[in-house]
Amino acid sequence: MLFHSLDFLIFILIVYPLYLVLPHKWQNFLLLVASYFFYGCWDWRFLPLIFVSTAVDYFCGLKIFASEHTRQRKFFLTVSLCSNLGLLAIFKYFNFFIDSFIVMLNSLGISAHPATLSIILPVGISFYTFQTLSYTIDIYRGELKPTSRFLDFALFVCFFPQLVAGPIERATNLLPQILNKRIISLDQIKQGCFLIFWGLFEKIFMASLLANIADPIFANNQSQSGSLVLIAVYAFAFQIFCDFDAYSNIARGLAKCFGIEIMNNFNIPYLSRNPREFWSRWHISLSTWLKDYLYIPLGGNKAGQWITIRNLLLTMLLGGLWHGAAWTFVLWGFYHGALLVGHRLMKNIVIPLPDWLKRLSFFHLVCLGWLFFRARSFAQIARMSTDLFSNWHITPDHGAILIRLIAICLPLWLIQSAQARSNNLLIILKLHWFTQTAIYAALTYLIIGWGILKPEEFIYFQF
Amino acid sequence: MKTIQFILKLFTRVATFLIMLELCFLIGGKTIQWGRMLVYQFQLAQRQGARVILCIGDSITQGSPENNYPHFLQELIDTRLPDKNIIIINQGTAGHSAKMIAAKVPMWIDQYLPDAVITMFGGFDLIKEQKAQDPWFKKSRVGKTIMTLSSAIKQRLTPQLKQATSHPPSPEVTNQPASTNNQLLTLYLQSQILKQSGRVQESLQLLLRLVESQSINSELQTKAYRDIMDVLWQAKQYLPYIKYMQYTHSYHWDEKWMDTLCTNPQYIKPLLMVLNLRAQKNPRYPIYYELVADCAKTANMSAYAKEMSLKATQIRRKQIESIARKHYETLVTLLLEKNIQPVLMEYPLRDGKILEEVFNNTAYNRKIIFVNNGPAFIKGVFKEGYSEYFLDHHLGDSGHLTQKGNRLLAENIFEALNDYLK
Repeated sequence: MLFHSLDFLIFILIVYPLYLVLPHKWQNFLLLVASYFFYGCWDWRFLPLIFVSTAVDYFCGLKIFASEHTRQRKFFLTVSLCSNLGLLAIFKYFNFFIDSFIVMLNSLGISAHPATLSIILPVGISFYTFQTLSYTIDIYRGELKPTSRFLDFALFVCFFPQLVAGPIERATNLLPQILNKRIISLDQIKQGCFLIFWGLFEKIFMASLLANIADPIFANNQSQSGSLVLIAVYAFAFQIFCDFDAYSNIARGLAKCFGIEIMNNFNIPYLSRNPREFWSRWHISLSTWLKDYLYIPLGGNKAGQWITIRNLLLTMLLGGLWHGAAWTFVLWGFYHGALLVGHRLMKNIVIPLPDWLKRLSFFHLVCLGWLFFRARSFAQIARMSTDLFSNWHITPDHGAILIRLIAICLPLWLIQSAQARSNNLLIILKLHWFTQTAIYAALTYLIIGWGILKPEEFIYFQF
Repeated sequence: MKTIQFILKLFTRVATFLIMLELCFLIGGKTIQWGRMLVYQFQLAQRQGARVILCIGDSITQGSPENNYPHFLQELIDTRLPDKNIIIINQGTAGHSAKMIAAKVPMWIDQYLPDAVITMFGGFDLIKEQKAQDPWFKKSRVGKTIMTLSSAIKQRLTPQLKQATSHPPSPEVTNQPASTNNQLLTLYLQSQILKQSGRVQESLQLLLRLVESQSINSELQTKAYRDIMDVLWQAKQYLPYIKYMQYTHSYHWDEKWMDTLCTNPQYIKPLLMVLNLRAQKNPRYPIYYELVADCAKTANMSAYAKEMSLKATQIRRKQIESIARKHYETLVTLLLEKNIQPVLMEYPLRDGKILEEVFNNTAYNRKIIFVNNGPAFIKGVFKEGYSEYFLDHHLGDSGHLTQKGNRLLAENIFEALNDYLK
């Protein structure tokens, strides 16, 4: 069930009024049933998987909290880690590792026959696995008390707005909101509606139209003009941002309408001047997760230069692999790790450039990363990079595509510059009602008149 | 008091929103027109003293930026007649009926000062005419929304209903229907591999399983049906082939299709029945009657063929007449007054001769160039299949064109305009 589908509209029209009239305890039950139904619409066969994950973490959380010996606590944490990461490994990475192993054996001259299983990737597994892991780890660290209410904990794991593509919420933030009674304010509903609307705009208008530009160029198997490759990479950079930001915004907006505040996942990332700033603005829920549960436990930046570099690279490599079982993602992770390392090494050098130039040049570095990310193979990366830097011939058609690209990105640029200037992502709601209505009307026109309502999945569902 | 204030506030905002939305559509339309003019000025500056040919019509003319017939026509002229200085302008406007186009033509003529105008329109008049017969409830916006919602819900709640009414049961298939998108795609790919390695029967089994699936999307279903027809045809299983013709638009048109099926007494009866059924189901699309007529003709049932052919012509004539009287004539008169060459054509797959007949006894018949797209497209579609030339079934008997379709259309126009261009 996609957020921009008729099924979801019917679903929410049934769930929301019911939610408003029910008392708190039943509200949670309703949300739980709705969430399982929502997930079941993707593929009901993976429901047991979520359920196992939930049950194991619920049990381990209680046990870790109750145990007095460190060994026992460690044991239950290990059980939780192994079962969650094990499921993730089997369902997401099994084929990948077997394939890679066979390729390696073949290259050594040993012939091996592939014995891969046909495993389908369960939607959202990367997201909810990380979410439940944060729960047990936080309890182990003594930062959180476990809940004994199983159904409420189950709702924390599978709360439907952010179930399949994040933001990856923390138990410290989301769980109390589920356990306690919620009061929905008018402001929350207003903000929620704006976020949902803006998300739909980003998805239906921006992401789909940008995909129309980027997809054919990335699908081309031949060498092509560097200017086209550049346009495709720009288009994809905005497409993936809009696509993912759209999902996060709709998720946040829906949650707000249910009286629940979810963390912000994007903070105008393309305005970053350096990699560090980028990762504090892009996919914030994942980058903070990796920081808290991987980078810092590895030693963070407190244990000397070389350890820090190792930690940065390792974290980003795993972050890349988290996106999917493919070596191109690993390369992408490594690339961002290298950028972070480079930035850290140059910490003491002051670059005498104006902010806008720093932003522009760093944006291009990010774009190069997106080329690695979007390409399907190393051969494609090699070919497209060669084209990008050597094979330039410009025709009037390219100009037309570029104009289309700029025209599509214009509304985003306008809104985000207002957001950046006021440092408030909800600045639109502060404007005079007349201006607000004008913006809503203009965006509605773009959605109705130009948007493409294809039942196309959000890119981040596959990660 | 507070409630009244709230309602008033809400009302003003909704009203403002609607007015602004309407304004946006207006400004958007103007901006597109302005952009087109800009491109035109640019072209004119590049080719001074060029002859201008204006193509008007609906979305089938408009196409997409790199896929529309005026684009290919320009390409053809530039390559084959490099010494001629001609600009082709695409003024196709999605959703425009003949009435709307006729109203705007004077404005376009003033803007572009064309030497010739190519027209292809009328589709939306038919659609509107059809919709005019709907009850008032269906016509209102609220009614429309409710209808869409309810039909969508109905379809989701009773997928079996759809299956039971629209697909023949196939006892061979015992497996559960596949459900997820991935599975469906995998099934399809497997069937392709089996087909290529010569295991046709197994491939057929998979395809049958595929089209029975409740969650299959229309695109994949079309493909699968096409393959089913393909396999059945190759395996010479003509009876099931005829049976499946009921459920799909995508026939496997073979050059010997008519000869094989229509001349065989064993097949002719069910075939004519199926074809006739389809024609009755689509009374607005005479091409189906034309098909019955052609088949009957091949089977030497000339009386029946004549009857069907007459029926098709009647429908066509009526459809054109309802537009021709009002809009074609005003348009042609206007163009000839201003000394502009009118070039009239029907949608691809339609027999252009009937359009010519409508103007037969008028004074300006000889001054019009008619382009008949019917024969070329029918030949192509028979040979290679509908989906090679068309993207959809927008008008029932023809739809938006693929690149191949648009190229064929451009080629056809080029042929018809040959004398004029020289």
